[in-house]
Amino acid sequence: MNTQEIYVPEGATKTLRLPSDFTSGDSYAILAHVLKGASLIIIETLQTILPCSIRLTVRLEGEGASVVDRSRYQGLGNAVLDIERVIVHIAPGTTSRVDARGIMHDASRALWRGRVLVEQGAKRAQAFLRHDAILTGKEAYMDAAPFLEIFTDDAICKHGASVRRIQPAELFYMKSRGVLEEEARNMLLEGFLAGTSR
Amino acid sequence: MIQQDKSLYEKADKVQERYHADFGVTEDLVREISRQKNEPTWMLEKRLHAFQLFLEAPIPAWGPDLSGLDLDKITYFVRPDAEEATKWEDVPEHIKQTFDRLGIPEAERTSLGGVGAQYDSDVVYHNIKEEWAQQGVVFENMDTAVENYPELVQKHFMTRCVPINDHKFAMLHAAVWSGGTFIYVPPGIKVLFPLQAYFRMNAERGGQFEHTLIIADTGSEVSYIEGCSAPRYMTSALHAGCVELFVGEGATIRYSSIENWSLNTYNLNTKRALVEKNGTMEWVNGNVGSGTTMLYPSSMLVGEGARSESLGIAVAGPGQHQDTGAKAIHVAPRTSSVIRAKSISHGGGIASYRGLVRVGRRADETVSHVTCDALILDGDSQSHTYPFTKTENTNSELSHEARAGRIGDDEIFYAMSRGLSEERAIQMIVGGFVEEVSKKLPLEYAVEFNRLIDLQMEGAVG
Repeated sequence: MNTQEIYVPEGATKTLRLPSDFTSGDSYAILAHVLKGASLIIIETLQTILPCSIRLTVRLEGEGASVVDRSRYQGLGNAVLDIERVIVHIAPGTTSRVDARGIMHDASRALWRGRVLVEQGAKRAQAFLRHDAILTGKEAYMDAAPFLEIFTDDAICKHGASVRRIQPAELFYMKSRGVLEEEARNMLLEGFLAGTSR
Repeated sequence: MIQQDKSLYEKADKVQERYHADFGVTEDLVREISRQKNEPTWMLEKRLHAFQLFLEAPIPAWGPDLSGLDLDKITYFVRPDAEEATKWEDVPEHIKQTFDRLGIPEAERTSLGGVGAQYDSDVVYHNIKEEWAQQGVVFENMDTAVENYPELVQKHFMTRCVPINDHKFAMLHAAVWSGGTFIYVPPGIKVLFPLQAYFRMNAERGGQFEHTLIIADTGSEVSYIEGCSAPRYMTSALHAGCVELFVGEGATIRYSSIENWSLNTYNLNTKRALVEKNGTMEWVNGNVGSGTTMLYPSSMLVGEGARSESLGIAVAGPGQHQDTGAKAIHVAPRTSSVIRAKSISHGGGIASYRGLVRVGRRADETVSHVTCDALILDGDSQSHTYPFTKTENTNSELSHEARAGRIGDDEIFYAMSRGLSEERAIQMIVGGFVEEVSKKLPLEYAVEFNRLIDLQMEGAVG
């Protein structure tokens, strides 16, 4: 798997839709350099039954650079997803926001690694890293780890991770309004993917 | 005044030793330890098996740098010239002075149900209050327990909870362990006062490998506190203790420890609890000392409805790397765990949280929540968070939250505008940050813990 390198020039805003903007396959590796005052927006939507490997590294190299990464993925059948996000805060005043959500169906398996590194020079950096998941498959498996590595005191960093289930009360609410259970489940899962973490 | 307090922990004592092994660990040494302790064959075999495993196992490739730890330059077995005493007056004067300085006998008189004190490889004092002994509560030196309670020990010692092949330092521990605490609480007995042990490692280039085994039988309750310290040398020392806790059906164990090893110590400790149906495990861990710490107290929730609560704080100052955390392994249905971890790094120290929550396929309706808070007091210090969540269950709820940052300027300004110096303001804010831990400790320990943190933070500002 070759790594593709992209640059977001000074002051520019670039939106990257994955995987369609990049490849027709399910495996890809991207190294993005975001320069001074530039913004990178990543929108990833992935649904697969195949094994896939995704490596995405964003380097916030210029002052005030930012990245917003919204990833939604679903594993079906025997899919094995290996997903990695690395955000490196190098310059002062940089911000990052990673909001990833995944649903593992059937016997699919996911390994999700998020890593936010705030280097010593990245004063006033702000980082937010979040991963939420739902398992629907009886044989599904999720291994998630959002790492924070902070080398400065002048940064505000938060991260969170969760594994949720469809709440029986939510399901009951929908069923009591005449929605069939399976349909209700699908709607709730759809709602989960459509939501945004705060 | 403060300097004098610090020397309480870090000053070495001149003591006479009964036995002082050469550097390094060999099969002959393992046999010699077992021979001197007059152990049964099964224990010697266990030691030898563990030693063989240890020789083959690699040093962990993850976590803090252990390259400064030369396992061939450690003395694995040092016996002070003292027999175990049950009366404080019978403890040899020079050893008594050390523990007197640390305030151990005073604490026993005022608030504890029993006390043990270990000096290097041997326990020098053990005592339990009569009322608990009469109810069948056993509080013994681990070596004595091997002799007096062979069945209980053989069944529980490094078998289901921490097997001898768990990791390299558990293997080493199993091969050369010495001393420690054995507690057995009979069914339904609730020990109202905490039992305490204090471990002191005095020998230079020493290693301490005490083993703590607590069995709380059905419906019982016990609270146990451990304190640890060592003098400060220029050479490396190693602490690789092992704590095994068996929480029976409906039983509760609260295990608290304040570890204040000196900066030359590698603290590579293993602590684990096996929690049966409706049992409750409470961990309270404070890590203030040692140069490098790797410590992740774990609860294996094997019975339906078992619970685990873990509260930990690590303070990393100059030259320190505190790699601490907690683990909760949910095996049975309707189990729950709460992990709260706090850390403070200052003066170039590194504080890392490394934790694991694992939910097995059978563990339906499991709930787990992890919170990490990190304070970074200056630009040279580091704070890392490595939380792992692994789940195979569709019907469980897990959550993890972490925040890291420095003390807000406005908070310091607020305190200073009320007449406090900057250092005092920061001390006060840090005091509030650690309060959750000190509140869970008995009063004497809470005072000691707060004082230790103040000592650690001394000069951290300005």
